[in-house]
Amino acid sequence: MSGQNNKRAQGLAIFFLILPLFLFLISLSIGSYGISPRGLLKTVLSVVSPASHPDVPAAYRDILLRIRLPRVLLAMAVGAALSVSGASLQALFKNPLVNEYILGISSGAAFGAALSLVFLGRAFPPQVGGFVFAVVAVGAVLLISGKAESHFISLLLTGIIVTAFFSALLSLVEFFASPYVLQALFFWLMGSLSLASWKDLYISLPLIAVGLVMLYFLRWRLNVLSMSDEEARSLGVNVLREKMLVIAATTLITAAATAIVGIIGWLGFIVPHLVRMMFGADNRRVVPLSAAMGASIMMIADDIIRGLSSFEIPIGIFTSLIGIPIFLVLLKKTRKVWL
Amino acid sequence: MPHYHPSRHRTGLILRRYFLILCSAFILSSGAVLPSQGQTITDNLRRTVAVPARVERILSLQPEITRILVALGAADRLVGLDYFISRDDHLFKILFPGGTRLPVVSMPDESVNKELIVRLDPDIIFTSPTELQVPDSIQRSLGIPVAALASMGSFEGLLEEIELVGALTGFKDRAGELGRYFQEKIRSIIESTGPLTLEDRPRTYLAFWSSLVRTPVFYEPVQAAGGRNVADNLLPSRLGTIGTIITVEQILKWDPDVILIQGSFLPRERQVTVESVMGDKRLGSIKAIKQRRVHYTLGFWYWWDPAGVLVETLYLAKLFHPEKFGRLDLEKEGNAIYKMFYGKTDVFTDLIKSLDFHEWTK
Repeated sequence: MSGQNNKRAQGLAIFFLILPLFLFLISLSIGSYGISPRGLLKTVLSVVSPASHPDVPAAYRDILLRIRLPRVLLAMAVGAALSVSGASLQALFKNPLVNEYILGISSGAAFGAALSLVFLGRAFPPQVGGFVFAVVAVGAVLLISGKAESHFISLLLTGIIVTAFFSALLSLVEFFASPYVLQALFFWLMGSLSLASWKDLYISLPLIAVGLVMLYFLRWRLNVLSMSDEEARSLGVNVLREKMLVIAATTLITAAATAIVGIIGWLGFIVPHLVRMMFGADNRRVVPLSAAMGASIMMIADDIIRGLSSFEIPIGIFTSLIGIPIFLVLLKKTRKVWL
Repeated sequence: MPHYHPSRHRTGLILRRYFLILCSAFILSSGAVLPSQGQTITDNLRRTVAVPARVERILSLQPEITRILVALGAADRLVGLDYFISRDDHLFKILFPGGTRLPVVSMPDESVNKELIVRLDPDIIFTSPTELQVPDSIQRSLGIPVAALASMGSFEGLLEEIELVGALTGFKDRAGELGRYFQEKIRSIIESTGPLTLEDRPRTYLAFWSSLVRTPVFYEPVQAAGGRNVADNLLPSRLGTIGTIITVEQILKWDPDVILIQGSFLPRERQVTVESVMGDKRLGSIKAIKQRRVHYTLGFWYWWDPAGVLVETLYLAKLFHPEKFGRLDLEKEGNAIYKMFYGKTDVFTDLIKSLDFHEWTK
């Protein structure tokens, strides 16, 4: 019986791991500009061999290569980044209520973007300012809280305080901003993939990839770090170094994602819980499955937005609308959140 | 081919406003002329507001109303202003230099200084319907009537505002004069464009509010100038606004003939520029880009400047139908319109310089 359950869980895990690939292909065919699957195929072929399909409209190529492809890739990357970040931090802090923004990343990024928009103008991309100050916020948390090894509660509290501090700074910058800059800032804060371009991917994708690879290789150590520090040390783990590595990697991917698409709530909280409820708390599985499920939920949410209407709805609404019901059903079924 | 009928079109616009925008131009509940006892109006947030018959002290947190008050000659009734018009409206300082001495009551985050309001003791307060919480918050706590009004991109809404503010301040004749002047100008533009088929009307996409993908779902200057707003059938993103957010892909689907970028900002403050749109490779296949028909228009400036929107409509008519408006001296016309509304000379010439709108007067 247990063997059957294991096989089922394994099958389900494989399904979730390959799901993003199917969704990736489906997502490329969804959008307000109706392109048939045949048209899409011809467009792809025309890219490989332009001479063989001269009749493909230029608009098809622009939509597929310059609009849908970067947007779907960005949705995948951001979904995976935020979910893995949430899963890693929950394991690290041994706290199921932690999310990816707990160390002040969201307010730091918002402040950085605002600062850039207000004082540097359009010549300087706000994403860079957002990324830099997201890292600064986490740095401030680590510096103020002292040795994270022995003061994890103080780390969490400092995260909350630094978040509040940067929120106050953001309000101050808003006070000095012209209304036109404020409009651009509020649009960014809403969180959206609507303006995704290759330029965004060039900036964010390498950073997210590096962070995800780091966390993938650190995943078994997250299991050890989930124990008490004494137990972890007795297993030969350099606790402080490993914790700092995890924090550095989560900061990198969350900051890179947030700087590009703004603040998308709930994903880093819900997805890791969904994975643990379905597959257990072993971080060797939780990390890759969170990446796959996060990427899938983000793509589905974005597909709904792009497929349902010609206007853009903030994606955070749909990640919550998809994630929370599944979360509640599983919670009711399994009656446990943290295994 | 279907011809454009102004009357039928106007009826369509009104219906669309009511059904799609939910709360558009405000409606005086019992006629346009206010009786001596005052009466109630339904504002753009569908609030019923008891309005005094005549007001001596007005707090305007809505730049469009503020500009109307100045145009009517009732600027001395103003006891306070909003943050935007006081600090960021570069033209307002020229139109009403005395405004710089008035207290500023609202802040960019939509908060208001209620103690200052009590001290200013206004008979009525005007706010924008985009600030959903502000009107009820002030009215409930201070007991002062607050009306959330805006033209919502409609000439009819603007004319009703002029009429209402004229009646409230006792400047009915001046309001009538401005209203007639406005209507006459618009009528003359529509007559000059002549009957237009749908195909004659350039399909126009408007990139407003500092973003390529934010657009108004209703913008009458485009219609009146003989164009078509491609986003006309969409719903606004929330109550009190007429804007929505669309996808870049949707712009390609619409494939507009013309792209208009909101240009009421000073050049250094523009987040979206003609150059950035022209250089955006995602939009390369669009007709407007290929034919280099990407231009600045004034757009909203915390709603409208009544003179500005009239000049803007003239400019758009010239842009859409150069064969019919080629001889129009926009600078001369623009200066005359501003003179009519505000009594100042060469205002439009100054505006062209500060906004770098030299293309307008070519």
